[in-house]
Amino acid sequence: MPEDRVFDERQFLRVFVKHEGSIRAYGRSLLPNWDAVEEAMQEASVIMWRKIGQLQSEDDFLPWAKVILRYEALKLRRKYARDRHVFSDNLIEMLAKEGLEQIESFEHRQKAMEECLQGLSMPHRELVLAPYVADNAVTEIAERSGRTVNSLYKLLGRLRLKLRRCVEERLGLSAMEGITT
Amino acid sequence: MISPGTGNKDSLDRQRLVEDHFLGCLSDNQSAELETMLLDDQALRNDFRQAATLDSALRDIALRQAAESVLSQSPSRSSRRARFGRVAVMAGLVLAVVAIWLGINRLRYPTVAALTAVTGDVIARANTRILKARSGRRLWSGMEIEASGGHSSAVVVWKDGSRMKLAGNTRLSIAVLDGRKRVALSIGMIDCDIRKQPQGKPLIISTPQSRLEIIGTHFRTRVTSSQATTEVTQGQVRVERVSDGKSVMLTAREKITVNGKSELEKEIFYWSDRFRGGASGQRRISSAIFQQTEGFEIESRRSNSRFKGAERTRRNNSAVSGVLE
Repeated sequence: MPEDRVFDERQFLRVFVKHEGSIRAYGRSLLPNWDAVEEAMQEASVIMWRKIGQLQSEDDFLPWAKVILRYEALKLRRKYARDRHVFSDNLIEMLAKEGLEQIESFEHRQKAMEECLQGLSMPHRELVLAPYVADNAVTEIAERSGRTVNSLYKLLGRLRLKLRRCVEERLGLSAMEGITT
Repeated sequence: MISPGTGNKDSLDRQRLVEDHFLGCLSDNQSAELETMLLDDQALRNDFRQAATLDSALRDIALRQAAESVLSQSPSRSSRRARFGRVAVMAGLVLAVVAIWLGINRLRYPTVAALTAVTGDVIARANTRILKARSGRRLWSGMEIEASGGHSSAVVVWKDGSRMKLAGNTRLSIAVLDGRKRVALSIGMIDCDIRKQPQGKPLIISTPQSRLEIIGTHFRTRVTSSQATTEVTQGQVRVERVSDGKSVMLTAREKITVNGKSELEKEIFYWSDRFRGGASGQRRISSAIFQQTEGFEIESRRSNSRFKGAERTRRNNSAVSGVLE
């Protein structure tokens, strides 16, 4: 148990939940797949809990948590480097450093994404969410629709780009309307 | 910010590469190509991080909807939307609590190894609890692993990369005390590939009949109710007889059987798990273990045939040529 903690268990849980989306998104920019991100998050959350005594205020939590996750991500990167090409330490450090400076709200992006998803047809929405549902979800959709998996992934790429543009437009509009990001 | 419009083909191709990265669709060459672009282009790196954030947002939405479809009772779309917010918050809190609980659990029981390549009927025991032994299960000091039945097997992978393969009908327990790994092999067979251990802290394997000290090596040890046999293919293993403390040091290609009765005598063996015929057209036999005595005889596990070696060629202690009788 960490000694002289400013944060007790409940406070740690509250602040962790508040920033979990941002921390996870930061991990995704550094690691090649979601299994690696979850593994890094588990290790990082243990370390955060152990070192919570270092924190003096809630405002410091997110950058501090990202630094811990960055360290775990670099360690994990070496494990995956055996199987296939992964980004070099040089690029990961660059992405990590620039990501630390990023202060956009994950919640606002997520809200914008939910609104943009509603603008897609039901089959397109199902396709966009399929890769996160199960490993073979896209294959199942291909079999049902009579299309090739390859063509579905091309469509998936286009839909994701469309969603990204939609989210940027919504965030731009929100900023213009005075909603802070 | 994504380049506006679709007029800039190069920019669009780069964006697609980024999306394909997050979809897991890139070949190694394409991934290397994307890396080169990212190293040179800060704007692309900004896009890359935005794409990561949105990938994360999509995943959260997909997982929440999957949870919602399980929890939702009403077929009505409007009532489902009304509960969406509450379910989302609950799901987030549950995930966070589980993450914290797992974190605290890990502090209390630090991981010393993991179970992989689980096939057949394998269980793990922690104190009196029986845990599901799936591949990827983390193991901590004091746990017992049992592979029941001849068809079962599993591999224990320690944090330093050392590996122990459990054959069927094998039971062992693991521990780490003062930085030293300890294994108690009650019965069965393990095939081990052990990385070099820290100075003064060899891995210890205890059987009812013997005690092995391993510094860094590849070996196999088999325990029955009456004896323990150890065969070393690489490195060194000290084997001590529990009944009287007598010990021998085994090196590569040496084996010993400890049964509390006879003298501790080392034997030479050749151990091949893939046996290939030579250029003269000799038959290929797989999974053969053989022992050199006066000439040498080979028993093939698979074909139940026997043959005598007429000529030996050894590469890395793993290949021998011979003639089928």
